[in-house]
Amino acid sequence: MSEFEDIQRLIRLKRFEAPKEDFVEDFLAKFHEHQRSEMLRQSSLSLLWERMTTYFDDLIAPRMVLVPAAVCVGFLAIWGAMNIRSGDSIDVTGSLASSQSMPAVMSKQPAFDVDSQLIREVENNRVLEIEGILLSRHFETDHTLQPDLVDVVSVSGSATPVSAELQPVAGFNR
Amino acid sequence: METALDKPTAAASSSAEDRILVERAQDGDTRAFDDLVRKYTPKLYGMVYNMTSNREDTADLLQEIFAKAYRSVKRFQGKSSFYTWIYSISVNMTLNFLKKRGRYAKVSLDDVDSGIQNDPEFVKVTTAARDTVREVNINELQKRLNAAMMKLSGDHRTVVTLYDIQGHQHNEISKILGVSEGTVRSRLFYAHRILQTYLEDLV
Repeated sequence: MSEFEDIQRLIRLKRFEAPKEDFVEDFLAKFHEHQRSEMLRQSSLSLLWERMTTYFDDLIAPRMVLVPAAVCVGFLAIWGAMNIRSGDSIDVTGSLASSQSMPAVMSKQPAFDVDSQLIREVENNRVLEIEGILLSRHFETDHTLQPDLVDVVSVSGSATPVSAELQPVAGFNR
Repeated sequence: METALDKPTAAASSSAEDRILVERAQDGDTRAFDDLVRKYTPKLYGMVYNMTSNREDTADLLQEIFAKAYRSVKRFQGKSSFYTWIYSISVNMTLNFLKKRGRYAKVSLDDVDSGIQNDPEFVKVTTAARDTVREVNINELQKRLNAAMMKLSGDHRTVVTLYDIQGHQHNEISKILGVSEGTVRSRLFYAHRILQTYLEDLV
């Protein structure tokens, strides 16, 4: 007799925990339902698979050409973008290097003040001078000017005709 | 009355009957598979239920077990008996289920079979064994047995279920589990010792 005889006898009582009598037939009915739903699911999946394979069979040749082409285009695009970025980075780093080598005070660009008083005075003087010359010529020679008397005033250093035959403006005094 | 000498003969005829049903099922006869389901559902139910201690889990798991068997029956080559094959599937799937359930949820130990206390045979056995099973409420007894079973690991619970509750022999269990008979005996001894510590006040 085993030393665990009593325990085994006790555990054996669990064999009476059996399902109800109608369990098997109910179980079988449910099993059939499961099988049917699984078959339907499988058939729909197989139908989907068939359609997909048909679709890809038709398109397999063009796709095989398109795919490498797309890869090449993508590669070129990435390569180009990387080059542009690397160029930008060189410029940026160059400017940074130059600005870093300069003292902070010098790195500040001097603002070109076009409205400064001195420049304005020079410009005004030049305009007044030109106007004065023109007016004096106008009033001195009331008759038709000779071609060789055409005056040339140079402001910027290059010869620019500033006066020619001046005609009275029609209806000026009206 | 069935004697020990009749057992091999009955097992052989059962095995031959199974082989015919399996061949028919392999040829696409769904009624043959239905007969196999009818035959093995009560046995497998007992095995799965005593390992899970939950009726809903047992019913769901049995559906999966027979669905898997149905899908695989065409690949069944008859190297072992159908009985060993279906039991192997059931044990493996139940152990996998227990591993998953152990990860995500705690087992309800209160899940007991309320109908058993009305089972005349059960009442007869417990009344006859009153010297062993002391005065204890049947419902309480079931709870205690289930709780004690749940203390065992999956492997130990399997051998106790197959040997003590379902009455399989050591060699049959070793075939089902794919382990040696020595391993089966060792697991049984260890499992009985654990059960004794939890149920010693009842024996």
